[in-house]
Amino acid sequence: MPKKEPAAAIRPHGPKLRSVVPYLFIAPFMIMFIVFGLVPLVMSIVISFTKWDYSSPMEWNGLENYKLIFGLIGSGSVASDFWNGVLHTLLFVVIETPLLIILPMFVAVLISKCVAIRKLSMGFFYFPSILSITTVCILWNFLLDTNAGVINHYLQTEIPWITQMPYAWISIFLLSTWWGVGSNMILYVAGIANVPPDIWEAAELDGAGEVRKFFSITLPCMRRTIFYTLIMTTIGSFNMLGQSQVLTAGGPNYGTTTAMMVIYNTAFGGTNNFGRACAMAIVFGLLMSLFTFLSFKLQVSDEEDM
Amino acid sequence: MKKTSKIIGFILAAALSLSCLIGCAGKDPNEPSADGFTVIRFWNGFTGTDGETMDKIVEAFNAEYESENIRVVADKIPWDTLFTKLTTTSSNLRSAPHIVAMSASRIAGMNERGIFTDMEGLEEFIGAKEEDYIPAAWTGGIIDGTRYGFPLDVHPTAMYYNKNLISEDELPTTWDEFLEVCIEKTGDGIYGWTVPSMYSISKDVFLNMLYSAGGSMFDENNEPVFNSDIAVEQLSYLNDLVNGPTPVSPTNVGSGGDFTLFTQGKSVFYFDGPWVINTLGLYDNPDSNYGVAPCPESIGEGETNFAGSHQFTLMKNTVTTDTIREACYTFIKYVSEHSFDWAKAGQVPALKTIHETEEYKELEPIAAFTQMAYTATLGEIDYKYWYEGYNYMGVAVSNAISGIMTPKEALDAAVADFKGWVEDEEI
Repeated sequence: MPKKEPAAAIRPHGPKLRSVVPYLFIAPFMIMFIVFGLVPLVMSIVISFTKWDYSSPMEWNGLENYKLIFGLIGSGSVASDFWNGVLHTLLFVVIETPLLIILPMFVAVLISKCVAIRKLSMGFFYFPSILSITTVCILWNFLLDTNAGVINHYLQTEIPWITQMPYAWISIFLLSTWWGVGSNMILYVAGIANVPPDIWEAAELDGAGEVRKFFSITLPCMRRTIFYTLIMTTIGSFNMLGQSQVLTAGGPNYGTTTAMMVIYNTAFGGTNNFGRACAMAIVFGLLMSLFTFLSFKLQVSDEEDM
Repeated sequence: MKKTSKIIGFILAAALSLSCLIGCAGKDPNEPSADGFTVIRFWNGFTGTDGETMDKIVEAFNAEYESENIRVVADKIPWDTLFTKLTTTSSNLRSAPHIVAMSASRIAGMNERGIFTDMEGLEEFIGAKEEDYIPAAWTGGIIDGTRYGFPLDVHPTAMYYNKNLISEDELPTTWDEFLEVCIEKTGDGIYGWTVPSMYSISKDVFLNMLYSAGGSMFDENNEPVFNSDIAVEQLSYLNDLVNGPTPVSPTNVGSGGDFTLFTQGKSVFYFDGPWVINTLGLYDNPDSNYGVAPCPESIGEGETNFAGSHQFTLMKNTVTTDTIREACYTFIKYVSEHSFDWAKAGQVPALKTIHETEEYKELEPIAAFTQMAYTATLGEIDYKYWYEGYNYMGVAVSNAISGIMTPKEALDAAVADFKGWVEDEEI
């Protein structure tokens, strides 16, 4: 048997390269993260203490943007717009997030059982997710039109889906659920496929029914997948903008205006008040972080209990 | 040694990653391109038929001025995105435009941020005289006596009608007649006019009526007066069309719902700008079922109507040399003189001499808009917050027509909201 050459002889600079290579791998991400994540975050914090419209020189104005947001100065118009937006966003998060966790799970379980039409069903449910939110809203705008829409035509009703409350919100939930079910469903189908088959078999031998198997095997085995989708869906729901912007234009009477819409309009809506928009984004970001932290703590305590 | 390797590794990685970003960098736009051309970036939001036409005009300009080494690169960006991009790139010399076509109503607000350069000497360069242009368009680009916008077109809101449902002789010329006609025609699934209740064309029709009745959005001190008695009266008229004792419109007409019902033959009238001429194919089909007439009480002696106007503006950060400025002026002059094609795209050219040509007179569907353009007003658009006030007014119109508030409540609330917004904005 020929003697194997020592590694150092083949790669004279091996140790050096070995110490450099890992940094080469992570560097693109780190640079992108610094350029597009960390730097904008730090800049946003700095800008939130200024009055700046992107064109004129930045003026330091201390806590004034924050005071406006909390209604401590000014007419209260900014505070009222922002907190109304936050309230509407919370409504969306509280209702839409469970829908986008439970329904995809239900669909995923059904699809996993129906092997014959599995791929077709996955394509059917996943299709809306590949569309942009603007396309989805335009499509639903046609479907939901009170007088000329297909839905009212077939239901033989005159429901003002987009122009009156609470229908405007119902339309947003319908559309968002139709659009979002597919993304989480794909993850759940993959999660279910990863559950070791012997556990199912053992449960079946023990006489466990479908419901029992779901709650005692499927759900615990998919804990991490569910946790991931919960965090991502919550963050996605907090960032809701397109549905309100395109489908309802924030109406009727600002009733579907979300926090992201207020922030966007403050930054880009006309007067380009970037300082104020950044302050709103920071306050809103802190609220989002709080929710994410609570979800995380819930998950950790859940894991500790198990 | 280990530490040195780490540093080298990090620098290497940084260099590798940044190399892709460096590739994005370009030249100062004020320097001629490699082939010696003066390149002008022209941004506009014309994304429909008007966009295709503007592309052809730019193409023709580039062919004609190739010998003079001027080239225009047009970039079509949807209006909302255009203003966002303009704000974020105005100080970036590599990507900022030289010329931007925009609505006259946005000029005062954008100018407040100092992003425009004045158009000194442009009128002399073009040989433009005030009497040669539609009055509203000519003054639309002037802020505090300085020209920041040069007029391209005017786009009033006119009244389209379905010829199967109404004859030309029956067309109303006053709003009272309009109501009478609508009441007469409404029934059996047909409506007089399906009034959109969402933020929509209804607000422009309201402004048409408001200015026509002698009202305004702002007074001479820029105080909002769109809740005046005249305004309440006009909005009440619109509201009655939907929610009154003899409604001529269905309720809760959503965005685009009015157009759908009009094209389905369920609505006698439809209000919109001249771009709909192409959507309905009126130029290509003289025997179309659709016609277009001026809005009631919008033309003739003593009448007026509300219109918009697209204007050319020059960016301060990029138009910094005489060569660039002259190239921009050359392009603006060319488009102005070749704006017959612009009429075919569905806009009323601001240059009056175009309207006097035989070929323009043959464009029958644009005639109603042209008539309206001569008596049009753009509103008090030299006020920096006019556009924001217009948006607050739009919500009031929507709230009234949706039946959420009475016209007076809706307009009072909008004025109060706007005043609060201005107070906070001034902090």
